[in-house]
Amino acid sequence: MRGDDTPFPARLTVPRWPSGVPDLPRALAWTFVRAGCAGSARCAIGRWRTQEPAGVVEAGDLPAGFFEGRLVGWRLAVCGEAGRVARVVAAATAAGLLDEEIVVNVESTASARWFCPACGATTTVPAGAGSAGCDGCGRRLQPREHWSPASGQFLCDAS
Amino acid sequence: MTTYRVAGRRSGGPGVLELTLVPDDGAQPAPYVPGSHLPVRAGGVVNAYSLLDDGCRPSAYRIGVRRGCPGGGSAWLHDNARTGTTLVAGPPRSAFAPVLSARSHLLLGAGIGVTPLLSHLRAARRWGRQVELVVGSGAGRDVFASELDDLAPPRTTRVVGRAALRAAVREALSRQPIGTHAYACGPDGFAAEVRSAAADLAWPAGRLHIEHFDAPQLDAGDPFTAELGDTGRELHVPAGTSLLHALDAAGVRLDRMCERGVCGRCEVGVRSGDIRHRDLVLGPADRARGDVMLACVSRGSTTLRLEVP
Ligand code: FES
Ligand SMILES: [Zn+2]
Ligand SMILES: [Zn+2]
Repeated sequence: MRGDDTPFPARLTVPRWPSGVPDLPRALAWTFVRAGCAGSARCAIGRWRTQEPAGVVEAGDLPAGFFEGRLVGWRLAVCGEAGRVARVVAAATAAGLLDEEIVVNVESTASARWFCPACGATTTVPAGAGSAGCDGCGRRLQPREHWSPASGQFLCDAS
Repeated sequence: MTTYRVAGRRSGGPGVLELTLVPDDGAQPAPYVPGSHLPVRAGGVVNAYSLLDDGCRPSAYRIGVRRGCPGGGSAWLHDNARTGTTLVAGPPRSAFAPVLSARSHLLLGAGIGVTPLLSHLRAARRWGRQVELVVGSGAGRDVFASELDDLAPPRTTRVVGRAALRAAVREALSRQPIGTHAYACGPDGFAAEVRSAAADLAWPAGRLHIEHFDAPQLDAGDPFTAELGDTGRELHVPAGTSLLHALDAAGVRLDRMCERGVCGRCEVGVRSGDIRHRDLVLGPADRARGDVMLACVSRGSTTLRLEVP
């Protein structure tokens, strides 16, 4: 991977997922989301359910309007595979949630999401891939160590 | 600091004065962020007053001044500022700005605390932002009432008395759509009430913005010496000059925003020396460690050795 040469923010970023199942902070209401959640030994859902009553939904079918009608005080907790967790976090961030309102637990890392600077498409690749063709424009993508927590994507060079 | 001339004076309600200031040299005043305040030197002290407009290409600065304790700067302005009076003031400073990514804005004000909210309301109107307003005042003590009448958004609650305001604030906080940011301004007791209601309703800290209206008036302080990092350079900080400004003069520019100890931007590391903390940001643990300070307000009671280049 190449370094990040953008002037601001002048630092390298890679995802930093919590190690170990995080506890849930106090909230008025919770929804738990399974995003490629395998129910493995590292799964958080069981533990979270003992802490808070909450509905559990599959990320694959987050209903349209999932974030509508939610009130401040509500929180989201997401468990599963890194790339798919990142995608849910990105959707939640786009809907206006703050970091403080999202709890994540990553059971496994099998995929990553790459952002193409040429066409803006997102390409999902196996974790650890060194390059891949862009799903949007077919250009060759190479990831930089520049991960956007808000969009859950690595910025790439396209050639 | 710039010299301004009072171009207008009128009442903003019982005990509240509205002053319109224009630069004495005829220049156009600098634009400001909604919710900003203007540090004004009056009666020998510098106080911060909320700016009333949205700050977009202003032709003048309008500020709201509540008559404070006798002998203070606000009382001096009430008694002495007339059309034509000249005053010295610093540039507008922002520590209570609207969050641009917010889905909607909930404005909560008590008494004179409506003044920065007027600025938010004007900006919301200009940019078409979704906003709800809850304000309370003492009986017969409405502040900027006609301006509020004019700017009040469709969702407005105006109440009289402390208990009614407390209930209205709690009710409003309990039904805000996710993505809302709340802004509260009023006396310290009001800020504490809003904080506790928001905490009960599990509002994350990042969604609540409090304007410290009663930021303490600070005395000039005693002179002290600051040593700069490894350079061995020594800096004399006279009484009445902040460490931040002394560093500016020495060519060391720290980040800053509010310049009155409420935003935390001007934090600087301290290697040794006793700090006289005067900010509203650092917690007891930071103070006990004594290894950081806010250079805009805090001072040394001994020589301070600073972590600066
Ligand atoms: S500039 Fe805001 S605390 Fe110093
Ligand atoms: Zn799981
Ligand atoms: Zn592409």
